[in-house]
Amino acid sequence: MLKLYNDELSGNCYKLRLFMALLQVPFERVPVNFYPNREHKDEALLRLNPFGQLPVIDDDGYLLRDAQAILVYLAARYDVQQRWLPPDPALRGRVALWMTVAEDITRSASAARLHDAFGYDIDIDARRAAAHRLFAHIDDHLADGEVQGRPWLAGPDATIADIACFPYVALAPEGGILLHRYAALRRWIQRIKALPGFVSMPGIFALGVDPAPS
Amino acid sequence: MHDVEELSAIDPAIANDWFAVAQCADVPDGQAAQRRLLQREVEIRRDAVSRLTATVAGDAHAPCAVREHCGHLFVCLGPEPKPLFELPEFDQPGRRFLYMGAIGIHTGGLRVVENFLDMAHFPFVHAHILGSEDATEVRPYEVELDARNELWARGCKFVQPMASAASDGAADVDYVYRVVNPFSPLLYKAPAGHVGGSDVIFLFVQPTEEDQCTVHFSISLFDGASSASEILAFQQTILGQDKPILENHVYKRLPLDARVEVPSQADAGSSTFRRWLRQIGLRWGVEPPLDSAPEALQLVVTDKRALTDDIVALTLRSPACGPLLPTTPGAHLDLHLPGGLVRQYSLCNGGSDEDDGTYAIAVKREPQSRGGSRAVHESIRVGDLLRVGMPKNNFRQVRTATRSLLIAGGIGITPLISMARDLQARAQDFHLHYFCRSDTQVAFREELDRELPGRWTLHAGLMPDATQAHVDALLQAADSATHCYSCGPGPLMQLVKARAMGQGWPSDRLHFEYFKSAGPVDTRGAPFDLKLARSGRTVSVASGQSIVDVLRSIDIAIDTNCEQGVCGTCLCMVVDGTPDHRDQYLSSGEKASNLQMLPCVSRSRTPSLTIDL
Amino acid sequence: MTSNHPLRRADWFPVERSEHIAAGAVVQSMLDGQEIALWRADDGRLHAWENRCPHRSVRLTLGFVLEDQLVCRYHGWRYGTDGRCTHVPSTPAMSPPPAACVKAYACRESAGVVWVSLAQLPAGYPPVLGDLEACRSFTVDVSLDDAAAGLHRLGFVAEHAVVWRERADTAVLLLQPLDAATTVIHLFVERREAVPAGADVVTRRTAAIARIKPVQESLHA
Repeated sequence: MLKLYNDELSGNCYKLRLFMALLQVPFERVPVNFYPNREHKDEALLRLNPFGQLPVIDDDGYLLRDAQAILVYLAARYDVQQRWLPPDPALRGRVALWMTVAEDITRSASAARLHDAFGYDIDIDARRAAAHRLFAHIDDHLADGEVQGRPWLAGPDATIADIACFPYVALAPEGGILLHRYAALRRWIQRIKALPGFVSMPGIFALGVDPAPS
Repeated sequence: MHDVEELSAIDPAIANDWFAVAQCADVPDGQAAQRRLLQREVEIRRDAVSRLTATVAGDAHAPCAVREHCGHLFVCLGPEPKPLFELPEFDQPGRRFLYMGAIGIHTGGLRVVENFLDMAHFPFVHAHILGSEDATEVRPYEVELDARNELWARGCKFVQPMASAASDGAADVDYVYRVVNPFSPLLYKAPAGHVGGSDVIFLFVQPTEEDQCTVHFSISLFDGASSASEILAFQQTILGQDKPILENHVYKRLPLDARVEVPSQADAGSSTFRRWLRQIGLRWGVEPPLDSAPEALQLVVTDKRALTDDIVALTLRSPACGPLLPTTPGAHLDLHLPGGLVRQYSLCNGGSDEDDGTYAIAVKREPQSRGGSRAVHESIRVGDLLRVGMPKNNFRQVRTATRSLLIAGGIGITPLISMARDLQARAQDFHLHYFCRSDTQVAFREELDRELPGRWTLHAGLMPDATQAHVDALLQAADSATHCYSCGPGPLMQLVKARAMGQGWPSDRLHFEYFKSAGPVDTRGAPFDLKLARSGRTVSVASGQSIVDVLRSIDIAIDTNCEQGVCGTCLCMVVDGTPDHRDQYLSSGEKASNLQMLPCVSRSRTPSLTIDL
Repeated sequence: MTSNHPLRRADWFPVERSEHIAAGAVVQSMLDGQEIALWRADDGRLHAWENRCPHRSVRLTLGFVLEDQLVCRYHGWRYGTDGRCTHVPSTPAMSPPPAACVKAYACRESAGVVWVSLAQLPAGYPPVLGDLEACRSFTVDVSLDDAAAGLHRLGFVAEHAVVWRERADTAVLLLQPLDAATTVIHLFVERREAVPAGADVVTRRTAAIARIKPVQESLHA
């Protein structure tokens, strides 16, 4: 069974927990404490990922790190209908583009959350400002998209780009970044929560009552 | 950014309390760390031989007290530090201590403490872990302030699908909560009936600002089997699930007024906590008094017409010619009448779009009226402004009822015509039986014929025996899915209730409009005489009535809120007699002194009780 | 503001598009700094409530709809369409505290627009607009009055305090004061002839957006 080296409070690990729930891929969690024990820097984890970061997967001996890279792998390996990483070149290009935006979101909104929640020493004002600039842009893109019949980031259907961008946008308030102004962004969040098989994480509620864990 | 010179003195209510600001390991030998506490910067140093000192920045670097205790560094900014709390369990052999982080939370620290004390959220916020939706009841528990001025909640129980990292199935769990000072709670947790030590979970709050804090989360436990990673994964999930709730309180500081935040009986812990904060006079981190005056509307009478010889219908509209808030069938209004009287009248509206913007009521002139109905019949004119309370509903329809039996007597037609209209609009099966004293005293006859043809039956001028026979037949004919709603003179409702129960109707399919929210707060008990010291009146309180019920029935206005004995709003002084305390607001000492009581739930031990009203 | 175009302080304001609130959904909105929870019961009726549970002041927009009730996420307290608490799960056999009532605001839908008034007794009803097609919304960092003044300067015509029309075309702009310094412009186009289907709809909407997007920038100038 696929092993996910996981921290429950990590948005990056949640990208994979969520995607595997949507794909119905069974997996086993190996708990690694990110804060305060920094177990991702322990020797055991460094052997799996010399960069000393979570998440890491071990799929029957196949090791891979980095949330976005793992999303690509999981889609390629397990999404037989090729919905989440479509083969069409134009769509694939946009998916890749929005996967890089996920990195921008991590550098801004996730960093702000690390500062506010875990005491990381970061220039908080700069990160929050960067997040707001980014969210205004994404909100605008989604608002135009709604008019043009493409309510997801890369096109008319949900892709791994949406999964990659979702957690740290939804968790942004934990970094002091409120989403009042971004109505289209909030609708997109609800759209993701409405995907069949959606699972929550601490900090992100499901739409209704939490379904029982399988 | 924070101008220290302008800071006022630390709130005296907490100035001499100890606050956790770090775990011991955060300040190794020869090092220093800065922490923010109560809007001040504190520096803690440990010298080469492990001695700790602490200073507050800005106050000419004034020294302040610092101690190591239970794995944490505690600081006191005040001049006379109180004794540090005792926790002998901490040094018990076999225990592991795990520090689980200093987590920043965007809310006032007092909110964190209350959430920590609360069990009612387990099935919702920690679904499938600390609680589940098929067991949401919080059984009553004891809360008190002990001799050392610590708040304790004991006898707390909950059924938990997964109580800890080591769980392998559902368990009945015992909790004991202990708040050693307003920002420092801990809990003892063990499986029910467990002998030996409990796990101790600490959530010490380091309040940085009034609306922000850092919490020091740690656990002292006996579990030798689970790895630290597993324990942290479990516990951090719990805190992580609480965090978004904590960060989404509209008021980040704690409002202490029960009118702003209404408690239920399950909130004995937080209610006692808030009472404690009021008693010590805490202002910092507390929401200043908010305007929460009970709402009332000024509506204009746009129509007044006689429906029968003694029933008059009034139509009320907004003076701004706009809409009124929607009501539900069975709702009623409090009508404020001349002379300070307040009377309840059911709304006849069906909630359809035609009714938008109006409230329709009907008032029967009571021969023995104390003035209420007479005022409506004689004094109120079209164009008058009337003060009404916001609509309430103690006579709700069960939405899933596919068959309804409506039994109205006299003026009791008012809520039932509203229900009938709604059932008609929703195409549900129903029949309305209207019992009137005479054929000529039928209110809404035209409307009923027009709107509900074939759905209503008039029973006029029947003698009591015939009435009973009809009621029996109606109840007998109804199937086991039918809900019965009845409103009318007391004897009719009593008759319907008695005959239905006699036929075996379950009480959840019987609904009566008594104009009060029916418990079950347990109002059974020996009847007693209630004397009112200020007005000199005496009334009797029967078993099944609360003191508040009786007071309302004789027009004594009494402020209530939760009506479950936990918020303290209805508190009154006892002048004579011995109360039978059934509340969770008064301390055991206060109960023993018998100088106060809560009339919403408490009764009397003595045949007579005098209160200061 | 010139005396030719006096603006009445309207009671009713547009806060959302009907299509954004499906049956069973809760959507967050804001008006004049007041947070609102918009929710639609299973019978299709829309409600606009103060976004605050009367129990412990947690945002109701974290909650969810159960048929015709709104459920608070924190302790599961349920509220009926009249705002009154109908069920407290922690004390399931007891009647809820009578004082537990959510503050409800007047709310009306027409032409695909959700209008809300924060007044206890709103003045009249929202304006009746023709057949409108929703395009998209823009957020501008100016007050309602400044936005209106800006639209006036750009040649738009005020039909109502918060309803502005393009002088020579079909755009209709509805203004929502989010707070004292932020206004949302809801862009609609008026349907004057029979509704064309498919790509023409998108084209017309996109064209309107292209015309109005510069307005967003110049209002900031």
